[in-house]
Amino acid sequence: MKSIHLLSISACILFILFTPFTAQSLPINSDLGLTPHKGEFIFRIQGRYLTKTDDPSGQNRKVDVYSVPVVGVYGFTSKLSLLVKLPFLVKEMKTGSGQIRGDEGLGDISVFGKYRIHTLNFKGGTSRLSLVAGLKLPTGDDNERDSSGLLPPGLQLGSGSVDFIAGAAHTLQTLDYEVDTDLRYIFNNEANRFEFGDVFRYNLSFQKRIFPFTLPDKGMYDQFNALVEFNGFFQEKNKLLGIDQPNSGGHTLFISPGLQYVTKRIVFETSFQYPIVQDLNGTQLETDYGFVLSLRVQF
Amino acid sequence: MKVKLAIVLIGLSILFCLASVSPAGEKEERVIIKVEGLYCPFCAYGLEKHIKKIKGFKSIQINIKEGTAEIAFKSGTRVSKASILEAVENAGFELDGVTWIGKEPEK
Repeated sequence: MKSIHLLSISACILFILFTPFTAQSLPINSDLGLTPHKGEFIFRIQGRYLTKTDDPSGQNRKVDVYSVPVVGVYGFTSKLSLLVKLPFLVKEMKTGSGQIRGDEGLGDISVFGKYRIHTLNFKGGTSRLSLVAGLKLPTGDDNERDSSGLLPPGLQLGSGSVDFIAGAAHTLQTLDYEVDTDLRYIFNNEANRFEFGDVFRYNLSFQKRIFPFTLPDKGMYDQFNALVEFNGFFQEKNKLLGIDQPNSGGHTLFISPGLQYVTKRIVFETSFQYPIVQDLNGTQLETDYGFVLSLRVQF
Repeated sequence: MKVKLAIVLIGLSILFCLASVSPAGEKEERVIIKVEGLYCPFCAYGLEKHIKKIKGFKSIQINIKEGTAEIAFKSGTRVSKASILEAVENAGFELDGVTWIGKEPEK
């Protein structure tokens, strides 16, 4: 019932956003169908925080994850680009008995290629579709230990495996609104006799300009945007020695309202992520909320 | 005295007029291009970068609302539509029209 109530609120937000204002923006927690121009380099750095305190196991566990993904994107052509993501992480779990376990450092580096396969420009708008494929490399520590022994896989910085990622992203950008849709599948492989469950991610982003209220007839302008995203994922159960782990996998969906300041070369943005659906298997910790600060600069 | 003053004023006026008039070699070639797919200031930067690479580039004003760009080139550069087309496409957009202000350069 809580999920249905929150979905109704989400629908209202969407209705309000679809009033006719010009929206020109970029999603924060989703990918988009646009590709960088030829020779363009985009640098992006984010500060992300996620906390989980709802512990159905009764152990009163709490998990905090701080991450700073550093991303570089380069456009080889106007259709083909390469993205490299370096995630710096701090993972920390506190139990009710006061024990603290965790690790910090570089996680698994991801490398993606993106190719735009569809472009349709029409009066007042453009539609772009791109395919994405890449690898997640085992650069993060996957066998960190503390006084209690080997950290659980969820607290390790890396998975230890080379994993494959494939997906597609679409952007519809008009003078009234922008909608970005992003689908992605992560094929997780086994390492250290453990295998994270495959993940299917789906994202939907709606953006609208809130300032300036009226566009100037000539020239360019800086602008503020309001946006709301729906960021969800389904995850299969993890496997240990080929056996499904009961306290793993499930479905999570976040609603993520945000604000952006967009200039010709810089985008500064922030987003708050709140889970509106958490259908998790077993006694997994549930997410309370997440928070994102992000800066993009293009050269 | 009045005659001398008048001569000085006329001379200064002539000098001022000569300084205001650009020599023939510095006249601009101006063109307005219509670009399809341009709806974002962050995206428009790519168009500006690639247009600036065209030999003879002098200045550009991108008008996002109209989907146009007003470009000035140094006189005598004989900029071609092909070079403008290449720049627009490298920026990820489609060229929908080129309008020369004045005489179109000979190909």
